[in-house]
Amino acid sequence: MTPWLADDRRSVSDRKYGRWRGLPTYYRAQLEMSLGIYLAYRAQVVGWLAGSLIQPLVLIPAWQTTTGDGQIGGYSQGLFVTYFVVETLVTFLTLNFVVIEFGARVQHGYFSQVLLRPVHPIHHDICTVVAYRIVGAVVMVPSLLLLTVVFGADTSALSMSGLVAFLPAVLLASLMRFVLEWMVGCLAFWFVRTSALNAAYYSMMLLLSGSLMPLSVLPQWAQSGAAATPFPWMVAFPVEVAMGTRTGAQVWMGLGWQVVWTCVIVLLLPLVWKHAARRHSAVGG
Amino acid sequence: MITSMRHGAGLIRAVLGIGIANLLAYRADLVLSGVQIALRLVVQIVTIAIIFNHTSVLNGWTAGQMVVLLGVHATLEGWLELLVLPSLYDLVDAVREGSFDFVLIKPIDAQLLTIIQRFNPAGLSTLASGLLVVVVGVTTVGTSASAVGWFILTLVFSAVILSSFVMLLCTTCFWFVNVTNFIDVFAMSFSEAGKWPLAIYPRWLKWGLTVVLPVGFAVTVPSQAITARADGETIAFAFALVIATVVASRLLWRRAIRSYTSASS
Repeated sequence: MTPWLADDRRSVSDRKYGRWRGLPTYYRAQLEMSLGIYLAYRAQVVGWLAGSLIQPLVLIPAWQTTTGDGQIGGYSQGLFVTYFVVETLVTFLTLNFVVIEFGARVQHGYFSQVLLRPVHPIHHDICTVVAYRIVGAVVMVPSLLLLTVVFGADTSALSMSGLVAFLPAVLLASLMRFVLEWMVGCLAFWFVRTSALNAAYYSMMLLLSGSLMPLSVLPQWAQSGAAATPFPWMVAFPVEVAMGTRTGAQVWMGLGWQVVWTCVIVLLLPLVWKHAARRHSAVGG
Repeated sequence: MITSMRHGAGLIRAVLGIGIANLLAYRADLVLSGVQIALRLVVQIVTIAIIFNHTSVLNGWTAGQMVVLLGVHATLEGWLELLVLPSLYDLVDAVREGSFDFVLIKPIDAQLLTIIQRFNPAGLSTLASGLLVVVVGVTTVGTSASAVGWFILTLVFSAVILSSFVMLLCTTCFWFVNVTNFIDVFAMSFSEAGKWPLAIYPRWLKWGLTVVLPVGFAVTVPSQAITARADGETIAFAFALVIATVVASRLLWRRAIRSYTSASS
């Protein structure tokens, strides 16, 4: 199928009303619909959230035991708790299901319906992600507070200025992760069976983003290696900003890197998408 | 009794045959699942390596013993992937859609048929790689003939405990309908919490992962047994847990079947 959005093939309505005119209406309607879906399947949402809370529940004791009374990579027992609580929050705020959903869409042929709509499918995904966070926050926020209390987090590191800087950092992280995973998802058009590819992506994400451990506990060479990839900017950076491990110029530098990575991906995305959608050959109906 | 057992054995053989035929039909998938398993193990072993870069013993567990534990974890994960989880996902769907009728009308025990109805051969590679990791780990920490015997026994115990436990969870689908969530959460907690020995957890979590959600216990006990660190009390407790979960899942199943009203029209 020819992609709808190739520039030379704009629809009549596009030419008449411009490309972006209808979008606010679309967003309102789609967001309402996505919210409705998550509220209808709230048990499922709670299940996913419970799943994402298992990781800190396990990693906190693991690192506390390793640390003992000392410090590792600048983290004491209490600071490890704070790290993983903030990390879980960041993961919740940056997580999306794009990579998994893309595989299913291509494998089962759902993409035909999506491609028939006169709106780029990325807008649908943005609405889904936003709706998930709104519904999920109701469970996530109290659970994180509970973790903080139960494991005795050292919250002295959290400061007002850190939290102010955290907001743009986590927003950019979320945006960056979304566009990056949309691009990774597009690979499904070439490979169809994407399970191994996704596993490779998630393995790197786990090790290099700071989800399994603060990056400062890695050996020096691994830390510099990780810094050259996009991964730390999506999880570790916002956490470190909130915890005050990165301040002043380091924050600005980090935000700059996030913007650079996001721009590079956003520039590449239409190219990848154009070629990917051309390869689409509608499996099933 | 003998005929019904022979019947059951024939059935298991038939299901295995179909699974292996599937496996050979999708060889590329087998390679891909191999890649996934390898990546998962690499991430876990790198994590262990980083941790033991900072400490030499993790609450009584050395690096070699942790590798053994990872192997036991992968072995049990393979067992769950092979038969238990795919079959139980099918059960939940079948009850929701009403096709469970077809299971019930067959002249075999419905619970047996349910647990073996779907065979996912990719689980075999996870299981095999898990055993391989156990062997690698054991070469560094050493073992004895009797310890290997206890290991095999406790590994079987753990496989039974985990299977009956998920079965118990899934049987609630006869009342709550869509419980795939329960299976998801179980699978996630097994793959996260099962990678660590019970020794690292605070008391409440230790009990939680033994009695409420026995994933921590199931992985820890065989790992202790092979390095001759499991005491009689622990093994007796494991045996008690086997009996308890099997009996509970059988009783709940019977009740569920009695209240099943079929969703088809």
